[in-house]
Amino acid sequence: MTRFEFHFKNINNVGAKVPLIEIRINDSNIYKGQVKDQIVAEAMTSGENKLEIAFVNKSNRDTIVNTQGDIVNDLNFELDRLVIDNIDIEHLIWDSHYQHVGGKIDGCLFFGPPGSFILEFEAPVLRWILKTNHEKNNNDPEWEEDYNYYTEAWNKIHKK
Amino acid sequence: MEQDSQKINEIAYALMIASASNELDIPGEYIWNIPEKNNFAEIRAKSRSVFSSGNSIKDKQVLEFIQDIDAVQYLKDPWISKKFEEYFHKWVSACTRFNFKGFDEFKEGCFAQGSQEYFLNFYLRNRTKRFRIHRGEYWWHMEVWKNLGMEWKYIDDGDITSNDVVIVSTPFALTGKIHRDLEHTITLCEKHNAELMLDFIYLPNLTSENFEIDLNHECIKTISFSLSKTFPVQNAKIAIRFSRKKINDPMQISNDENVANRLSCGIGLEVMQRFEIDYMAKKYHSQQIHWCSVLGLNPTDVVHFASGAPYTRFGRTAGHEFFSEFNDQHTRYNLGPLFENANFLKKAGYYE
Repeated sequence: MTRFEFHFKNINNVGAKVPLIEIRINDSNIYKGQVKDQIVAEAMTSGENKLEIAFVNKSNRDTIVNTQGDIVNDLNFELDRLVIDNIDIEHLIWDSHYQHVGGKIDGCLFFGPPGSFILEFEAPVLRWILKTNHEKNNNDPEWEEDYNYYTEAWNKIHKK
Repeated sequence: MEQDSQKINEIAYALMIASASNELDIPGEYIWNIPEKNNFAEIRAKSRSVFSSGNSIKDKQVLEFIQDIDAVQYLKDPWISKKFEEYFHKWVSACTRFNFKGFDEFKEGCFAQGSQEYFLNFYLRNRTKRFRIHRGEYWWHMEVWKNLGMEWKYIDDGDITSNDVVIVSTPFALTGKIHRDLEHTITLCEKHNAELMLDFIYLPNLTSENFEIDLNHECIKTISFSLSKTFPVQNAKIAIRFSRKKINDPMQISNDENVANRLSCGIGLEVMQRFEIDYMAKKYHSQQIHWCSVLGLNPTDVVHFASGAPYTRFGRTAGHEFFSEFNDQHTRYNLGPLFENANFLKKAGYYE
């Protein structure tokens, strides 16, 4: 099982209404409910995976504007950090997009309009992080070798 | 036998994974190989220097003995540095492995707070001279000389002259063997009246039975020993310099003033009284042979060292040296972490 830790911030209610989300891994629900500072869930992963966080209860009435047209209250929140199997994916969180009715926004962690945050990643996540970082920066040619030493040693110690 | 770098790397990772989760038999004592967090990045970074130091074997029996020493009592003993200095000479002389010709002439013992103190005093006393050293010598010398703007040169970069002073670790720091040019270096120092300091810091861990050296050469003015590569007391800084005549440098003046570090002298004296100088060599020689055979490394004459090809580019690639640009000891493997963590390595399946 892969463990996911979602960290949210700037969670804004409108009156008594709180933002609700559904979190899906490969289209299977792993969480449904209120947005909290931290949500932990588990799912089976292997190879290529799709993570989706859907903002499910936002409507036009949840954005309150004054007579000048300025937004004075809004149902929204932000994804702050994503930790998979105890590894903070850090900047790779920005390799995602926000799909909403009006289109797609790359690298958007703000949940304003109704829509879904989507991140595609590979499992094991450490391997994916090292590989992706090297592909982006070309600065870690030994990533695979070192990853293999680490996992071999870890498996031996933990008899896997 | 071919070097098994795969296994060497895996063991380095295994030791650091175990360190991060507090599962080592004997934990490390330096921050450069203790992962501060249990994550890949930290474990990876620290795994690169698992075998890189020259430090002593953290033998469980010695560690337990040291823990029980009441060092504070020595603060009240004004004669402890003298006792330490006198006992040290006897302790070295008692070892049948060493045949020092002329050692008895080196009767002036001077307690030093680690090898670095006796080196610093050597630098200070010879500050107008040029320092000479073999490639692969302890990098700390060059790092200090560079930063203090002192003149120095590798021995193979030019002839030794009368304006030179020379330091040679014996056994040699890089190879764990007597330096192949030691005899020639002594001859040149003698010929040019260049002072030579022989540093025997690794000698107690010598595995060979018959170490012979003639200390009667006039150029050999000082010889030095430290306990930091022999016993896990490296952070107590316990060392000594011997000379034929008293050398009135800061280290000696402090000792004459009776202000030596009495805690270190007391710990050093008790450890020497309890353990023979070749305790580690006797106890771990078979382990050295075992691990060299398993990993395809070459045993050196120092029990906790092996030599081989670098297992990581770290330590040997420009910009990736350990601590200093002058540190090229990346072909020397400190096997201590393997000896110390035998139970863990057996459990993990690495001890064949």
